[in-house]
Amino acid sequence: MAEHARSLRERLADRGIDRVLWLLFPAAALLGLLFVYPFVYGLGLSLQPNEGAPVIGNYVRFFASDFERSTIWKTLALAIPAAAINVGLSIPVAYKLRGPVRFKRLITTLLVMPATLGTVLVAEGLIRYFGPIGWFNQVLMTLGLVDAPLRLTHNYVGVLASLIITGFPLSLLLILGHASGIDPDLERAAATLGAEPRERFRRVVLPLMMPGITIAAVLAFVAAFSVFPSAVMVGNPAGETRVISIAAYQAAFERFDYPMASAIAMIMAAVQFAIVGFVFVIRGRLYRGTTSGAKG
Amino acid sequence: MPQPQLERLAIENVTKAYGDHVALRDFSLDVAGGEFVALLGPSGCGKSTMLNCLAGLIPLTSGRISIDEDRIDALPPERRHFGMVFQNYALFPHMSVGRNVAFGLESRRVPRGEIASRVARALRQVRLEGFEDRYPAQLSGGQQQRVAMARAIVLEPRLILMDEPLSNLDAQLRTELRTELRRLHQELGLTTIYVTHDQSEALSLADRLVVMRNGVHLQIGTPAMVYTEPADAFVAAFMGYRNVIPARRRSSSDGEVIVELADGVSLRGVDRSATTDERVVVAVRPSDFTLVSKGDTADGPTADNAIGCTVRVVEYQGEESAVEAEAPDGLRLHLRTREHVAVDEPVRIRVDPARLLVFAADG
Repeated sequence: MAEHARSLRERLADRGIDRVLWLLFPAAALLGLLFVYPFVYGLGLSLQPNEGAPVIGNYVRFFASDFERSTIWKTLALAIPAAAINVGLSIPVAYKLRGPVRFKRLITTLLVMPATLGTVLVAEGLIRYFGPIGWFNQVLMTLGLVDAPLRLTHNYVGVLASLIITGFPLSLLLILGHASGIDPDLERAAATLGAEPRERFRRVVLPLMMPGITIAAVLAFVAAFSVFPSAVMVGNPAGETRVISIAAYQAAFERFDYPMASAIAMIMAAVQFAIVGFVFVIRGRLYRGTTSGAKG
Repeated sequence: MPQPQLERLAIENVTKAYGDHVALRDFSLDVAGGEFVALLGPSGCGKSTMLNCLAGLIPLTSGRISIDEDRIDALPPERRHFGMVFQNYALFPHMSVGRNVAFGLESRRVPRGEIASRVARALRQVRLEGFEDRYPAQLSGGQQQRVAMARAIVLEPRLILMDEPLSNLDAQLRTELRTELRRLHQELGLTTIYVTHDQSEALSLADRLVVMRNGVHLQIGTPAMVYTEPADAFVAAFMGYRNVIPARRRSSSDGEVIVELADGVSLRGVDRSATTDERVVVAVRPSDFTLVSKGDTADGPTADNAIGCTVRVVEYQGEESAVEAEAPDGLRLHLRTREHVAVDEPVRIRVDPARLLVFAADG
């Protein structure tokens, strides 16, 4: 009997099932408690509308209302450009910083600093700096470039600026981390094969940076899509920056309609999922292997 | 045999310094078209620096490099039209073998039809027909090396630069690919500069050897010349003279010299020192020490140039054994023998005075 039990354990071990798997338990439990359960609970709640409406009543209401439905486009109009700009800015910086560069640590620290400040502090700073009597407008007016102060806060521009300031460091770190792993000999090899700098970047470095770029783009988008504090503080939360998270907040804490708030959260998740899925489908068609030319 | 594409590559007084550290000092070398030259030396001797300067990957501090009177040392690498094989192969991991080999041709705007036929021919030359659609990660180290070769030769470059191309391979593959490299060079006649720290690789491949140390060349010559007539103790050590022993000059006449290696151990040898200093260095190959019959007892430089020793270590190596023997005064000598000897056995070993080289002491 004892021998039978031991051989079962051995057979399980052959398939990778052994006590080491228990190390996954804390993470799995945490995921279940903090993510899966609330998600399922919220999904259930969203399907129990108030006042005896049909099961999908909340979703019908959301999409029937221009005011609510438009939050999807308003949020996408912020999140997609923010992600694109953050990634677009990160690519050349990461390309320059990926090798051994003098003062690299200092430069990265300075570039990454905004991420450690938090959205609220950045928004506070933006209100003053970009405001009608802030430095930025003062300088523009002193130089005679504009006659009246530009409106850069409490609108779309302010929120986008805030998303770039707080989102860029994350994109840069992700892309830089990936780009630093690209074997510098590959670019040298391309040079000895006659490729000009532009061609080396286009044919060798950029394709090898793509996996890092897609991950960064996805995370930048997801982070920007759930924008809330800066949309309220430097945006126009009643108008052009009434993003979807504000719609959910108002449903939950101003109208106390939790089922509706849950439905909006589900719609948020669905939109993010659709965009992320789309990016990964494209990524699947790109090269995803090693970034060094040597035998792995 | 195809015509070599350059007549003369001239490297004149090239120096490369990184701050206070001089990686390459006043280095000059002339290479004739079609020649296979090996730069040989330990790591940090400047050989890879020289190769990278030739490729245009690092700028010179001073000096000039020219090909057939055209100065090239200021050209960027992409304008030099050389082929380079990197130590880690540097294959583009996101491209198939065919695309890797075609890369340089595409950069040079070669017509599509010609690219296909030249890629096929290059892969045939390195014996990788049918591998066009594989990716580098799917290849063994030896196959990756061949792709790197094909990628360089497909351009029919006027100069091929190779940076320790075989050092990442196991011993058997290394010998195999060494033969391949020699065959390719004979077939294509491409002028080649080859960097290595492996003396057997350099000896078997090169028409000419450049032995380097600390950024300068110590000796330039044919493999046979460098092997049999090393210029100094360092070159000798690199060429398989495993016994390199500091010694004192006792007397010399007519190129023959008697040296004292240790208390009570004196031998006769050939003077290569070009000095009269007392401090010298003696170099003997392990295979030049021979065991003498145990009955004979006349030691010393005046008799048959033999020393009595005790066997300390025996390494069986098939045909022969490598033996470490202890002479008087704790002096350790390395020799090779086909005879069977046992540890702690007393033996007597002798060396032909013509095979014992006496060099000036370093510095």
